[in-house]
Amino acid sequence: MPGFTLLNSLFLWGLTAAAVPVIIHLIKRNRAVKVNFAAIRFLQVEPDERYKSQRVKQLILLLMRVVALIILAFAFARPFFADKNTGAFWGEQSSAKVILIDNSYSMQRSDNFQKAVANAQDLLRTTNPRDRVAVMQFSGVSEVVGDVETNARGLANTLGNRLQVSARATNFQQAMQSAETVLLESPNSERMIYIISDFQKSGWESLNPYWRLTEGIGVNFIPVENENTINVGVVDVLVTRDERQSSRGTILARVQNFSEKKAKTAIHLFIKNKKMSLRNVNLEPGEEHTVKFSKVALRGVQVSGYVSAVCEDDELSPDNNFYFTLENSQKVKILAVNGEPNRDVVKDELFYLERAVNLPEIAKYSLEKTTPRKLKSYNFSDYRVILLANVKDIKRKTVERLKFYVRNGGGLILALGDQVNVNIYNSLLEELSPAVFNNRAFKKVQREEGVILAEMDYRHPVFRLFAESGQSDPGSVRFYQYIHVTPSQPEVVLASFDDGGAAILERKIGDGKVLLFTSSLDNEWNNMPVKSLYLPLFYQMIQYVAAESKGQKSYLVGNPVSLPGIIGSQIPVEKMTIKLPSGDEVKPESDFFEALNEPGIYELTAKNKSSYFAVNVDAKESNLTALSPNDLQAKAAELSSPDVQVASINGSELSGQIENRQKLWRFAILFAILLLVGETWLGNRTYR
Amino acid sequence: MANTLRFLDPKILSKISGMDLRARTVVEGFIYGLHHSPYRGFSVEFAEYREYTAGDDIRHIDWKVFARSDRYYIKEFEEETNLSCHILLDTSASMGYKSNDISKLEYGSYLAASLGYLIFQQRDGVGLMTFDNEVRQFIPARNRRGHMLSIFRSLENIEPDSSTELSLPLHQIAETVNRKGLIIVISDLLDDPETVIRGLQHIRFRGHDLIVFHVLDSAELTFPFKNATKFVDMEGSSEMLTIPTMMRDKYMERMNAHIEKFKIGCGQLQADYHVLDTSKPLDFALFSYLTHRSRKG
Repeated sequence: MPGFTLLNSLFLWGLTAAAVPVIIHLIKRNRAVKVNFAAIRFLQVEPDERYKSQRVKQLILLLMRVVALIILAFAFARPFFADKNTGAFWGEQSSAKVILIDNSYSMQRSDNFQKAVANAQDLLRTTNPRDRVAVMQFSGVSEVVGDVETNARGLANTLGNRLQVSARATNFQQAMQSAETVLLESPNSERMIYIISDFQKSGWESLNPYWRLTEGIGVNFIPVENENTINVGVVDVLVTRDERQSSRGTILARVQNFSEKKAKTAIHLFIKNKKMSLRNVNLEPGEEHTVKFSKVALRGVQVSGYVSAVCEDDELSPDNNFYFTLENSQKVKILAVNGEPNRDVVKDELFYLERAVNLPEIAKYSLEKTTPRKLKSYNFSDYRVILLANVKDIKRKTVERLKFYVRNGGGLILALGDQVNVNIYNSLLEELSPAVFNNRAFKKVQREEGVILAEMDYRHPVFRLFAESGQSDPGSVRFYQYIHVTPSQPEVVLASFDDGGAAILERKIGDGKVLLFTSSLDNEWNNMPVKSLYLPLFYQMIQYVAAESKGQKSYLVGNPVSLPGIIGSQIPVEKMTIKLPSGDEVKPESDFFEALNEPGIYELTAKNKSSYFAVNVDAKESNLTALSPNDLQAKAAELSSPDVQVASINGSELSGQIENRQKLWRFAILFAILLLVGETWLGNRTYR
Repeated sequence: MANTLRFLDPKILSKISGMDLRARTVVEGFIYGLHHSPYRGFSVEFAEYREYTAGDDIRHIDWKVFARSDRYYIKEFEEETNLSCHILLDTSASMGYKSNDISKLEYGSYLAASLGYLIFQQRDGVGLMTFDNEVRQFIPARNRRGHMLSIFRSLENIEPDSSTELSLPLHQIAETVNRKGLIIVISDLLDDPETVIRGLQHIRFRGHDLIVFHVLDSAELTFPFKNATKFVDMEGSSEMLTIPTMMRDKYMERMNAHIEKFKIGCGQLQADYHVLDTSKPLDFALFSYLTHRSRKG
């Protein structure tokens, strides 16, 4: 029987119930009792035929009961024909399929993950027995949880135990590429990927717009129901020690309401698991709010804590806590490479910056000057920030060292000027710079006019300070000259001039950050050094590239972490121990620890020295906005190979389709009921 | 009364040993019950005193009255009967059938004994004839001491045997008993109604009064069988395999028609006809007898 299969084959055990009427029949079958009777003359003469006919009726009754029970057992086993004629989901041809189940943390809300598992089970149970099916769960990484060639229904029964929601964010491209790799190993010509997900828009951000599935592979989307639920998340926390009293500090927490309803939220601050402070905020739909905790006691060499947003109706909890750590404040060592030194100190490129940074009252930073020629003698890892100020050209070896330095958490600030050779910069700094330098694109304007900083991302840590009233006005600074650059992505521009040119740009590489300032550090191209903006702006820039990479160690779930970077020195990995937030201890196998599977505070111990680092969920997963069904269908068609037909269906439609394909059980139940009604009718006309 | 009537229950009677004791238990319990019943006064009763005249039997002088009045008085009774009653008891094999504690024959025996004792107490003559397809035993009607004992003994020893053929013994009794009297037939009447009625007709033709007690087991009257049953004829070797629930309606129809034929036949002969259920007490049969006697004066 082509494609005939059962959804719940365990119910076939019910067939044993068919033996019950047979046993009862054998036990209680009518053995005629012999009775001496006087009035036998009044009995009918032709009893044998009637008796025999009754026996036949009884056998028919027995048969009806047995058949009814067999049909009932089959009905509960949910039979269906997995072929085209009966509307089989998988089609008639055997094919290779990968079912991708989204296990990102956004699937935790409501019972979305359970729905996704149920949908996958439905797919597996209705699969063509000849198909090769693999099941994978995906978020930031993809993992094969079941790969079957024959017993897809067996896998369906155990699927619930194999799948688990992660704390990672969704990455559809990575998942589809993994599924594609699996499918390409299959000899089947018909290949299809089924993705069961809530299909958040954020999951598509990393999708390369030019990427397509290999020829012959299609993708089908099965969205789980997306209800409008409230979600409030802490998306970022910035911890800064007070300049004059390092045992106190300020904590800024960015809290966002990702839903379309108002959310009354309580923001709790915990330091070393002790509740320190509480703020209540009413968040409008979509609103982002920065909560400030001032004069927070930050005692001890290392401080750890978390900010927790508690909203009564919040259905997604992983993004409610944001963990942070802070090492004891030490002077931030800055290596400044002077590209235009001058004996006249006033004309020196670093004249203003050196005085701004080495303020004895603050004593927060320690700036050490050098020249490009002497740079090779410096150990970059001794500095937390390297600043290239109007450096003409850079040696290739230096660039390679800088790449390694930044990837491992170092901070790099590129400040430009008239000495910069844009061709060299473009050829060597491609992997470091957030923008491409336009050839001979010195933008020069009249000194009287100048341009001003017009657009700034006030949510960014560098500019957040200036969002508060009473701070320096960025608009007071005039820029007469800057190098015009083309940003690699619009998002990397943190500030731009009023003529549209980019002023400050950012690029994150590995654990480190690069900031590009397109004008000069001295007053040659702007009047900033003599304005109140100069000192706080460069403090913020230095603190941003330095503090977050070293003092405040924060990582995302699922991302690898460089352990030497955490501990601050090269210690053999075998001497390291990591204590997870759950309390379990693990021994890392390499310098890169990849098992950041849970958010919380991790403790890395090596040679009796402990360092803490925080791991948080990716805040982009907090935005639950999903692609519309039409967009999904369009995307499926766009990504799939042109020769594959795709049809996007949602979870409820899938259930409906599968239910329709299993109509056979309804008919079986109906037939069984008819049999039992017939049995009752015949039973009432049968003498025992 | 309830306690007294309890002894009329055939099941209890079957536990009492000795037919004479059974009969006495039934009749005395029944008579005791009659003191509270509308049938009071049908028995032989004292009527009046009459002064002794020559020729009177001195046995009838009431010596207590003489002691008080110093005069001889004769005690006179309302009626002196000389009725002779023959009880005909069917002892065929079919009478041996029982679905509960007692068989039709046992029930018939108790009834015969009780009726005989009652009749004897009324100073009437009682006789007994047992029969199946022929007369097995015949005790003529008498009213003397010791006669009842022989009837009781005879009733105690009877066993069901052979097939029923009622007409022959009925004709025989009609020919045998010359003196007009009362004939009581106790039988399950499992024979051809026409031939039986012809026998009864013969008895009536000879001037006898006739009471027919049609004794049937409750299972014969209600046919309560359910499961497939192989019925074996008690008076033959025939067997019948059948499903009773299927046959019940037809059986009941035939049984009722059979009873109806006897009822009509007996009615035409002006004979009393009563169907007795062996699970029911014996008082109904005794009432029937006394009603018959009162009607005949």
